[in-house]
Amino acid sequence: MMDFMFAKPNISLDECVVTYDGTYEGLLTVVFECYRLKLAPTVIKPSGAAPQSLFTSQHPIEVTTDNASAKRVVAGIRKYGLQQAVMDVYKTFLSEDSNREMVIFGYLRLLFSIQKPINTRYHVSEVLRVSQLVKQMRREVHRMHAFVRFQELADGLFFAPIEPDFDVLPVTYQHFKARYASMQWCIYDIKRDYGVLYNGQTVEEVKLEEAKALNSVQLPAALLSGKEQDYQQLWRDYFNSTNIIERKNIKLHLRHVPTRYWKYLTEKQ
Amino acid sequence: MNERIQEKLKILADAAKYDVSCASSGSDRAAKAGGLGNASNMGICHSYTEDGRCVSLLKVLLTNYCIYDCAYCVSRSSNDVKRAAFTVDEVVELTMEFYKRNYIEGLFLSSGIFKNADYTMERLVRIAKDLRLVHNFNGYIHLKLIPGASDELVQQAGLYADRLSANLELPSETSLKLIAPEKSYAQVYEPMNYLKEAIVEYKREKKLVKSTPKFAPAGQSTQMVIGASPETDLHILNLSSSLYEEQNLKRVYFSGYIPVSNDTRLPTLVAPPLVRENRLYQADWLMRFYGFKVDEIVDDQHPHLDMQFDPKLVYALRNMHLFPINLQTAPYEMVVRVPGIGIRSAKKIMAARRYTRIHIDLLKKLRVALNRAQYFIDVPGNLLLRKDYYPELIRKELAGETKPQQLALFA
Repeated sequence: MMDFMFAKPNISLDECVVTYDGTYEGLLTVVFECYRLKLAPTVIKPSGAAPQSLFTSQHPIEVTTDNASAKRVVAGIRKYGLQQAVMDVYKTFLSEDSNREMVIFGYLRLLFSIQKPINTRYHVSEVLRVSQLVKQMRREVHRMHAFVRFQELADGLFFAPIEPDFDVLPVTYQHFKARYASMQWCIYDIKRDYGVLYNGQTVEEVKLEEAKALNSVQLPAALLSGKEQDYQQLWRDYFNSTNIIERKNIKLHLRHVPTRYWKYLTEKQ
Repeated sequence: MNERIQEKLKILADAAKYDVSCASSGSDRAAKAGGLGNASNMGICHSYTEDGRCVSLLKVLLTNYCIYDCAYCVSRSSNDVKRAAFTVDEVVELTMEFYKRNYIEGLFLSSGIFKNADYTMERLVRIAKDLRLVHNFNGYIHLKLIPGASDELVQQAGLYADRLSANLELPSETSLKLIAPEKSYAQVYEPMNYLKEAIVEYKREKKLVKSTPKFAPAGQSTQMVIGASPETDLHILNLSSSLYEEQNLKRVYFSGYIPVSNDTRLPTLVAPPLVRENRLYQADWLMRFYGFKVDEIVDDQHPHLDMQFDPKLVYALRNMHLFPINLQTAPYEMVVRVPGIGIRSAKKIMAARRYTRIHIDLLKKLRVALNRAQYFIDVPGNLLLRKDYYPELIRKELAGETKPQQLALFA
């Protein structure tokens, strides 16, 4: 099997639009195919989202996701950029940035040509962009570690709805799995309509019909465990009592807890 | 709901809120099978109150009954406030249930002193022990060391808590004696010194026997009230520097004095000295992370920190002969001394310059605070350097009294 990283990318003048299924594995397959077919895509977009260019008659090249190819690309990223590059590229994808595909493609092209970590070459625009997006992701992941608020349901499941700015759940749940290993819990991304359910042993992705109707932290009282509302009230009481009125500083408060997160914060209800 | 618990929580959280520390970092306690929680090494602030302070731990007093009458303290015996006391089970339940809901990283437990130091300390330790051994709780625990507590109890506390702290309360013993006549520095230094030795001992044993149980893995901290007594910033920073170097403290906290009584031993303030407190923390940061020595920040000629500008900028203005710095060649120690360049930016610059010329445009992209840095760096594209700057002009420009002329041209 040829190690595709050693194939010199012959970036020709053939410019093209490449589409994929919108998944991470799909994008990695695109990278693989571009090397195999010596393509220099100018646009990489999920199918259906690619703009029709006025100036070319070319049809977009549609790449079919192939997990084996995606795995080989990941192996290549790890080989040259170590685990950090694997995570940085994945987080860049999860950032949902509108230009993420081309940023990742440019980043990987440089990585595969230099063949050692490139994460501090900030003068290269793709490297700088990856570092910025990774930083945004890190901040949002950290916020979710902080702002997730579980509510105990009558059946003992701890449930938390979230609406993060980026798709952070795939790189967030491990923290909760380690911390709440003996509980059963579910964190649900309302915006992206999927969640992570931990049954006390393993984690699985779930889609809940009822979740769409949720638009605040207030779950129907009938669903909650007997003492849940008491603890929520105690937490609000604590939050208010621990404030020092003489030091009031709303600007600082808002910088740390932007209003868009309030909806799911028990103490702000 | 149990209204008694609700009332107790209000009273005992309100009484505990003047303790500044809310750190939940520095510990790496792993989760255990069947247990609840772990400690995140970087710490997590789960919320922020309207005063902008972090809420990371359930910070409560076990009781606000107190035999002491310290003028600065809201729980002093002569103060007419509602009193309450938690039971062991109540504190344990609140900690566990709040933790399960991801409200907190753990517990910060302090107490008014009832009967005597050991009697109080023994109860604090019992709660930590109960959480760890009975409830298999592996979240963060910060216990207050009661001044005068015996070595045995301090040792016990270290076995169950992540962090311990004994508060100096005031920046000098003279002030302490005046405001808190029953307390002395010796009472505070005693448990602090014991703990310091015990932590050294633990680390030695840990090297030999890997299974040695954890002992205060997040170290110890202390706190002092600022603005209730006449000490200068020079005095305060010298004290905190010695606490870091000699007592191996992890943190020294400053608490801007908030008038909690009209006791004549205390000054009357219109507002708490929040700017001064902030400047002291900035100076503290410079000492802990930026390699500054106290006398580079304050000295006999300048015993107080500048209230208008941060201490790093003031340092640069006083040492114009060291600048501008060539960012392509300067050592890291000097790069971090440039106002507007923090630790992260400095590291990025050090890494990036191996591959490229550091140009002002790159600094912009790296989001260096150029409004301050531009006066102190020698990099291509920095047009400001052509001007013959002197400290007073930089001060004026940064205060917005004069416009930076070159910037206006190229903005």
